[in-house]
Amino acid sequence: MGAAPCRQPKDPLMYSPTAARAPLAWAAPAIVIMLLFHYGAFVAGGWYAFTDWDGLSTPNFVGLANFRQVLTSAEARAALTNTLLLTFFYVTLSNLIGLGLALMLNGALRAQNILRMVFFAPVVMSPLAVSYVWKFIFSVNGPLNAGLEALGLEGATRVWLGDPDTALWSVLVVMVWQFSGLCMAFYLAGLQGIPTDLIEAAEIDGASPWRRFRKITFPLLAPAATVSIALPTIFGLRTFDQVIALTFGGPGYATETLATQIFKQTFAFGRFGYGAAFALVLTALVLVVSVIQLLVLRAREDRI
Amino acid sequence: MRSDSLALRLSGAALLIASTALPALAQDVTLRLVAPASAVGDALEQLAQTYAAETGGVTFTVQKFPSGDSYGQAVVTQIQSGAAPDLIYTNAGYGRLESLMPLAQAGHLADLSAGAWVADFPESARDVYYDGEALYGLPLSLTSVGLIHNTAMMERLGIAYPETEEDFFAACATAAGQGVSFSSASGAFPYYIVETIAAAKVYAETPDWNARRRAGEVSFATTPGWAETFATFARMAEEGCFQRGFEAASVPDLFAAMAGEQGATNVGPVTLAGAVLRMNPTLSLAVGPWPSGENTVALGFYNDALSVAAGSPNLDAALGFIDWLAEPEQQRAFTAIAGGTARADVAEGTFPAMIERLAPYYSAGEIVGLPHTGWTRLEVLDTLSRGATQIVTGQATIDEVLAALDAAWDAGE
Repeated sequence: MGAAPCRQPKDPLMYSPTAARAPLAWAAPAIVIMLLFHYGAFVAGGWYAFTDWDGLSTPNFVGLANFRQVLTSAEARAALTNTLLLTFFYVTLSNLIGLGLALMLNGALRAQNILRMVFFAPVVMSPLAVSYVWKFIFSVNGPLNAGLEALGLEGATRVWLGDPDTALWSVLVVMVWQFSGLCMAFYLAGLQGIPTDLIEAAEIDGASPWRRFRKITFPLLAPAATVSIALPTIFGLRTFDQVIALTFGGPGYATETLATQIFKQTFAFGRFGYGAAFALVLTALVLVVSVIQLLVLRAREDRI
Repeated sequence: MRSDSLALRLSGAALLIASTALPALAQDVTLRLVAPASAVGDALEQLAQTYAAETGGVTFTVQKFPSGDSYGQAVVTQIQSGAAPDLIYTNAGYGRLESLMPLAQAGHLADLSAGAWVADFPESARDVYYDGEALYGLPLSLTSVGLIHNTAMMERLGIAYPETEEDFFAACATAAGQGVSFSSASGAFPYYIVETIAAAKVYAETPDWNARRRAGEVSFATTPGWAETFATFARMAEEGCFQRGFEAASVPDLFAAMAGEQGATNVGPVTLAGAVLRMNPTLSLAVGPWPSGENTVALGFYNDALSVAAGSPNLDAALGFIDWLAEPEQQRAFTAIAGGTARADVAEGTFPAMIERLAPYYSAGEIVGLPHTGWTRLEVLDTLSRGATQIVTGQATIDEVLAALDAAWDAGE
């Protein structure tokens, strides 16, 4: 079939001589403020990662000791494993469900606007509020177990949030439930940018719906996929609210994430230096994963 | 000339009035007090207002922050930023961010040992309030910890108050046979249960276990009482003493379980009983010791404390308030709002009816403090809470948890 995907025409205003000549100095005040209050504070805070500061005494320089502990302690390793597992499945499932919803709601479906709103609504809710509702659903006498019992599946009932085999996946369910709608919104925006004449031409040429999706729709959704994968990856690596509300990291360390460990080490145990080192490791992880991901996804966009 | 003289006299009189008024103006101070947003904070606020009304010249700004970790963070943040309050609600010993020992050892609290009330200082609290000869907090009340039980519910179930652990397990079976759990637990925070059992199995025999652990003479792994403690906790879970799904339960779930009569007992502080009674005032609750036969001990600790910031610019006024607050009348007013037993009542042997099972031990001076208030690192308590749940959920063995506790303790040394 070989339909050549086409790029959207560029906005002429973006390339106008006036825009090109806009002096950088105009942005300088904003840049300075951003550097001072955003990155300046970050760098200043980062210094504590090399100290044993407990929040009360004078900090002592300890070199890389905090980083060594982050990379070797069992709790940190458990938190890292949980974070990576959560992120991988969260990004994958949110994108699959989001793409499915977007394809479904992009067609001529009755009440599609209402359905879009319904599926997007959880995204704007507070993750804490959503998690508390799910905590009730997952509770041992909650609707989930009651539903399973009503279906005669008593053997499938669990202490979902207290069982180390199911607690992490229960957290994942809540995250996917809440944020699939966001991926749906990204993909819907992408789908609406695909010229209909391309699809129609392929249809006239006899391409099956699956072939049209695989050869036209999916490749042209690459820019949407870039955002839809990159953003949830960052959200996933920073998972905090859901864990605190649902399990508080337990049972044991079964649902600890890097972000919850940072919080506990810093604000519950008063280990500000160690917490800062943990935060730097998380920042580095987010940065590395995001950059690799963006490079790969952008390369894919460029190939189209 | 006469008018000049009159003017001079009037000016003189005005100066005299001004000069006599000046000292009074100089004494006008505003003390800033930080406290948790709880009954304790309410009690301190009311007492501060009473003091301000009685004395004049001293006013208060009371700042309340949510209880729990948030409160400790607020205190530390204020101190870090150089804006320490004059008066700080603290906890005894170690174990929390707002605990007075770490704050004192970092030089942030004033020594209160010159107060007249120090002569009556409770001996059982000495280790967690004194650092050498310096005293860093006013103990506000004795908080009893033990087996909180619904007496009417136990009567309906046909269960007598257990005297031994075997009685306790028999009661679990009896309650389970009638469709309720005898006790409740929070998988996230089971430390009160574990520490209460440990009081009988470790601290009854070795009251100075914490000091010996600090000296490196004993360890969790080499103290049989600690292994027995976790084995008892695991048995409680195994024999269905706790509510179904306790592994995922939070502390508010415990309140609800007891208020809704889904469980007859709960191990915790007397303040938990107060919170449950506020949810369901029709209950009849009492607190007794953990049933350990001959090893039975009464847990109680002077957890609530008020400290003075070392850098307070109003040190004398703050110390004046502390002295006033230490008087028996004020101590009783505090416990009337916040719960617990006033220090003066403990000394006189007058105890609330709710803790009558603990009273004989207290009267005999046999008060065992809550173990973790003597643990210098906060991570040890966290490891204990997680470890207990890990044993029950099969994530770790007792030996592994004991090793983790020692590792957490030693990590800071």
